[in-house]
Amino acid sequence: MAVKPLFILKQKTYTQIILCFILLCLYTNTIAQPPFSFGIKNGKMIIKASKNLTQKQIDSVSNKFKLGELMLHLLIKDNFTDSLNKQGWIIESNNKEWLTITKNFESSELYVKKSNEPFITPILKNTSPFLFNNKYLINRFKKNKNPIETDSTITITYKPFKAAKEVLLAGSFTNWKRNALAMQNENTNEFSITIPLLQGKHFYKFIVDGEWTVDPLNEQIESDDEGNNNSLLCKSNTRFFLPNYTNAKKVFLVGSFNKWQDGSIKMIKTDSGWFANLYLVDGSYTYKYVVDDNWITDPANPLKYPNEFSNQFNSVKQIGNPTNFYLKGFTQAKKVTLVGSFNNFRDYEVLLEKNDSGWTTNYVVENGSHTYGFKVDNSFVNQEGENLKNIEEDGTTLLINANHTFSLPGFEKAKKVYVAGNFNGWRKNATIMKLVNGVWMANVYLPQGKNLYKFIVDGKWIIDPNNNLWENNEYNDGNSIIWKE
Amino acid sequence: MHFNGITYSINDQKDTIGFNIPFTKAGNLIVVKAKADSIQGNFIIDSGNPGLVLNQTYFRNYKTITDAESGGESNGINGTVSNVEQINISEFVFGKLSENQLKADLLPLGHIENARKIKIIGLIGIKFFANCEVIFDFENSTLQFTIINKKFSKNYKNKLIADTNIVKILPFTIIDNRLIVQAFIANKKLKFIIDCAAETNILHSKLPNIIFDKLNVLGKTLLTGIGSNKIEALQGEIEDLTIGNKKLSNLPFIVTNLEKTCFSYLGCVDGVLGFDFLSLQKIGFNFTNNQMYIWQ
Repeated sequence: MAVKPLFILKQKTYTQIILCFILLCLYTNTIAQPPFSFGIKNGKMIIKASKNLTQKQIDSVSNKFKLGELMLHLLIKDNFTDSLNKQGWIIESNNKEWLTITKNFESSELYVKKSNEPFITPILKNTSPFLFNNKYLINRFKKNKNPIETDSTITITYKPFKAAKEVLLAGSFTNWKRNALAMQNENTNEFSITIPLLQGKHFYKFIVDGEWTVDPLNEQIESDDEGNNNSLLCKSNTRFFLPNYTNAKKVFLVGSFNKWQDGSIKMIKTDSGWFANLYLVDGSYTYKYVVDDNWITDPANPLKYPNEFSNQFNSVKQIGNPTNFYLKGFTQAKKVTLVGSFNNFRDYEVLLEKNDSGWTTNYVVENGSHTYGFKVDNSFVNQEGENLKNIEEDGTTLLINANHTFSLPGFEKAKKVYVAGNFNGWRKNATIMKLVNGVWMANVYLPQGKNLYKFIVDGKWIIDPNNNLWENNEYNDGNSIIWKE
Repeated sequence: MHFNGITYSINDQKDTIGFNIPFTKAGNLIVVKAKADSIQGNFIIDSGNPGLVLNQTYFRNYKTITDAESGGESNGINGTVSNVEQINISEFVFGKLSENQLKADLLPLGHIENARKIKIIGLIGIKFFANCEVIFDFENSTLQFTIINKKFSKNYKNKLIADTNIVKILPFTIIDNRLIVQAFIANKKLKFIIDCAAETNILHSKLPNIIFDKLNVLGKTLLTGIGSNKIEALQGEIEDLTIGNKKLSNLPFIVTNLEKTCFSYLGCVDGVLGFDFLSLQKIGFNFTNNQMYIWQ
């Protein structure tokens, strides 16, 4: 008899447990559902978004998952679905709380035909930030143990893992082993040497009792043509110093030289402030400091340019020889700015100063073929003061440090010939050629590496008939190639 | 020594000979120096490619072989007939490997040059490794080659792989000139092409859902192939992939539709293991006995 009530009790308990479990499952299911998910199901991309997402959350997931073209805010908040179909997305379900959309993957022909051999170059990452065309270079050492620099010298130290008798410094600046330099044995088995070094990029290694080794503290290693790994050394030409702020936790340097990427240039703390030593190629740069996430201009630098936000400024560094820009007349104008390919045609940045006869400023322009003009109040003019309809097409041309001459014989009867390529942003009017003894000629500055170009003969784009090197382009009519060593 | 038309500059009496070829990296590509006729320069090691591919830009003046002359040869998958132009090369030299009178495919490789800012003369496929063991040593930027005399290949064992605690050995197969290995995601057995010229790992979008439950999607991206065709794909990380008892976590992958990537037999491929996988550790391939080595 005693068993029965116990069984009933058990049965009730079981029912309660099961109910609790179901409720828990429902609850878990509710809270486990993230407000936004992006995945793959049944071979399709699937996006599930809660209608309760805030504008900030929508912007955040759009950026995070690179879904800008979906215009999620219009889709989720306003049910605006026009752009979806065009992009191949299908609405799976759409109710008051959730929107679910899917899209088939395009059939990729990778690995299918020989004509689509396995070259998969997804635009994902740049594994070596110093490989190509960078405007700056910086030392990156572990534990902030960057070499100490003066204007002309740099001090390199090495602490061997085990006791060493002799440590030599061999590098591109010593002709490697031939003129390798003996490092001085400081206390506690640490070797160091101070050497004069030209500003720019160098490579080095240590020879420790005859054994070659890279610098274990140096995070930057590049391999040479022979496959040897070498440590990279930067002798800077520009010191950024932010005085004070010694209570800040972290300070970064951002600017036009690193495309305003926050977090890529970490500044090093000292007793009196924060510093970063950079090597910058010749040109004009705008920058700011990011002090614990607050963006500030350089309090120690009076040179500032207005930026795209009203009444806000960026600090300015200029490296190299300035070009004097002078616009004659327009003395009645209220404001004149310098606008060119060298500053991405930003028309608010470089203000000119008025004098008795016109407007003037000094500005360091990087090497290359440029196009520029002036914004006088609300209209654009070229160097001669003539009105411009399209400054990028018709502006005044400027060449800094020519290192190559293009020539095109055989078109003596042509009226106008230009050369356009990556070196002048493919601007068709940027580099006009002159007819000299029956040959069209133009001087240009070509950056190191591969350069693509075409001639424009009386409006018709042609590849260089005297250059065997060319490759196809998106228009199927080819681009000529020059490699600049 | 001479195998399959490829000449190896070693004494016939020797069982093996080893030599190292330094490589550099252009982005995620493995670049070595080699020479095709008189044109010397950078070549990319491309284990996803059967033979020699030369950049059209630098071999434009060569007379091309018509399809009929080349016997309509197709190494393609799915019975696809090749429409690629071929040329005859008198001599190709790569380290101590050389081959005379060979055919090479001619393709535009400008997109790689433009993306990586280096001059690329061509691509070196797996045909050249047929009688070799090749170890990719990423720490020392070196390809360690051992040419193995055919008579000796059964008895050959590299001392470096003697300790099975350090090196795992697993088989691979070569199907239609592609190097194929098995790996596991979510306990599902999958077939992968090993391609050191693929800059990232790739997964076929039509695999079972259980596999994509292990994928942390990071966003959309575009793949660029030859001819500048852009293909939309997803970028993400697979929580766990197991290969030869070695577990790899958070391996980056691109997901795209590979349903056209099927072999003339043995079905379709499930994905590609590229540089993101290869460069994680020292890795080797013995092409004489189809063994792959993975260092722990």
